Amino acid sequence: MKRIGFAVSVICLILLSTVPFLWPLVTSIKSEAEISTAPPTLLPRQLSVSAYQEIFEQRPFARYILNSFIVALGSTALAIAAGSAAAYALSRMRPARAGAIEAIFLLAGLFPPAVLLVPLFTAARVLQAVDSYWGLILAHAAFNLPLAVWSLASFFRGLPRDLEDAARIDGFSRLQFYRRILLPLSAPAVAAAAIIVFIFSWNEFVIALTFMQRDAMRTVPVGIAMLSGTSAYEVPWGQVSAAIVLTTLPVVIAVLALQRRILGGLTAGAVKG
Amino acid sequence: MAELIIRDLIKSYDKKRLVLQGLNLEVADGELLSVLGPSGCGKSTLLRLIAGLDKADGGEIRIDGRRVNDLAPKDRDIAMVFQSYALYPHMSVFDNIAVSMRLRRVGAEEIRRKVEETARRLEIEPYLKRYPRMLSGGERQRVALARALVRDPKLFLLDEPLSNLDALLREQARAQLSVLFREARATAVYVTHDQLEALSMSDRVGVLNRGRWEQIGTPEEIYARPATAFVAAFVGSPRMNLFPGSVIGDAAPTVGCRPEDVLLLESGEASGGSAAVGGSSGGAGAKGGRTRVERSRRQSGGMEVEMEVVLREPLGSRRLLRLRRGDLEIAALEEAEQPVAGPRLRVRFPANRLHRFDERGMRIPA
Repeated sequence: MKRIGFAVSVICLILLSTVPFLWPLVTSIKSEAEISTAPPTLLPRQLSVSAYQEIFEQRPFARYILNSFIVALGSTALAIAAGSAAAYALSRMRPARAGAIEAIFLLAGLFPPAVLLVPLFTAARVLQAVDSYWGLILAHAAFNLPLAVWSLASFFRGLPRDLEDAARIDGFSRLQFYRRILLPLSAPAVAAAAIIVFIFSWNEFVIALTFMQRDAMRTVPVGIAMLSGTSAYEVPWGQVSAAIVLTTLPVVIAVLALQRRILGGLTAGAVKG
Repeated sequence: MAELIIRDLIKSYDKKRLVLQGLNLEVADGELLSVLGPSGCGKSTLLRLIAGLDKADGGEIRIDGRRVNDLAPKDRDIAMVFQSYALYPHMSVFDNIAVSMRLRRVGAEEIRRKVEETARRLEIEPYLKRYPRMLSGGERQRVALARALVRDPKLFLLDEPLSNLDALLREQARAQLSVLFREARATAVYVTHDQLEALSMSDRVGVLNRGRWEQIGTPEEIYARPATAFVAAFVGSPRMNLFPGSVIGDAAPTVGCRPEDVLLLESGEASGGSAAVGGSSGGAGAKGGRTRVERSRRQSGGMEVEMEVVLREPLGSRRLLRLRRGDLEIAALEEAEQPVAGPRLRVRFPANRLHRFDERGMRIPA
């Protein structure tokens, strides 16, 4: 009885969390006519890939995806590079001092992006970063820096102090230690932080909407929002669904691919455990 | 190889309490010196200062005549073995041993030759391609040792390198390490809290307590003539009995007698007759075994006290006895196959085996 209850609740939980993705998936492969039938059909009666064709043929969806990849990869690389360097410094500071600095980072991270939108946009205009990749990359990286610093600093603190001492005696410089020992050993933490930053940037809407004003520079979330039918009142649900599926897939694949790396304990064997 | 000279070394982490209070030390070329002390005595700090991992607040450190206070660890020509081994987990055993030479731009051919030679000496050749996580504790320990040995440094620093091994392995590793360092004629500072390691492996032992030397001497000196009551109590297992001299009619404020030196006689077999104090007539009264008779002849004289046996703990070949009389509680050893009967025993502290200490705990010369 207990087991059945457990199984049922697990299934409910899985359904609850996957339906928002499953529904667009189903919708995207329905035909235009079937989408608007009421009541909606649970499974498509007839498979159709026209929605996928349309978003690539009628819209610059490939371009949106390329833009999103450039921005997400760029901001992830920047946030991780700057964040891990800062985290290394913080992890080697006296705890009281490091705590104060990290509190400031946390504070900065608490601002919702929408609050900072106007000053950010003004800054972007002054810097001529509107409609450029690096403007959005900088903004996305900045928003994720606190998270990267926090998670990496706490991971670095957990690495055995002896390793760094041994490295100093062996002749590693600080930079060499950081690059050749600290980062490789922190791969699980770095991968976890990178995925979170990537997903944030990939999904981010408000800043991307404001910073990218030319259609050719838009990222996927903005592109999807801008999809509309022949009239403003008509939403092309098939295309929207297809776009949602296509943009979610890379994230799902990335998480699945890196999942084992995130969970795997790479430090095993460093010290007696 | 080279000698190490330390003058008036001072270190404080919080600017209030001195962890090292003006230490002096000389380690001769090719000498292995153990630093022995309880946790928190400053022995690891001393090692970190010599290595250059922490900066001294005062004093001077010289390696091979050169002042190294302001040199980075890598420029001091030292090698260190850590308690945790501190192997790089993402590098193979070969790379772990080779990396310090690579950073010094030694040629690949020479690196390969030296790594293989060192690996052969430590019998870890089959593991060169493996990663640390695939090795047992003893193998990791040998890799850590190889990483230090391969550099042929002026000075070896060892921070409790054996204390993560289990008892059996530790005994083997101790012997191996002794042979290795003797062959290499290496100058080494060996930090440990294990007195057995310190006494068995070193040329000299320094006993450190609260940032000061209690005594520096050969293992024999440390054991036979402890300079302070602290050393007396710290070195030796089971630990030395220390009690006020007045208990046995001695003038010294504190006297000590090692459990192995305490003489046990059956109650009533005492010689001399007088109960608590006796300038007794020697060992003639002791019977029940050749060993004890011989020992008692050698250790003539001394005080006799009658005590009650509280506990007998078998230690294999011998038995540890806990004896009590009033407030006085002491430990003594008896041969397992020759027990001395009785809930009450006569106990003699042979005069020539007593250690006497003054009010400050300093040894009073005999």
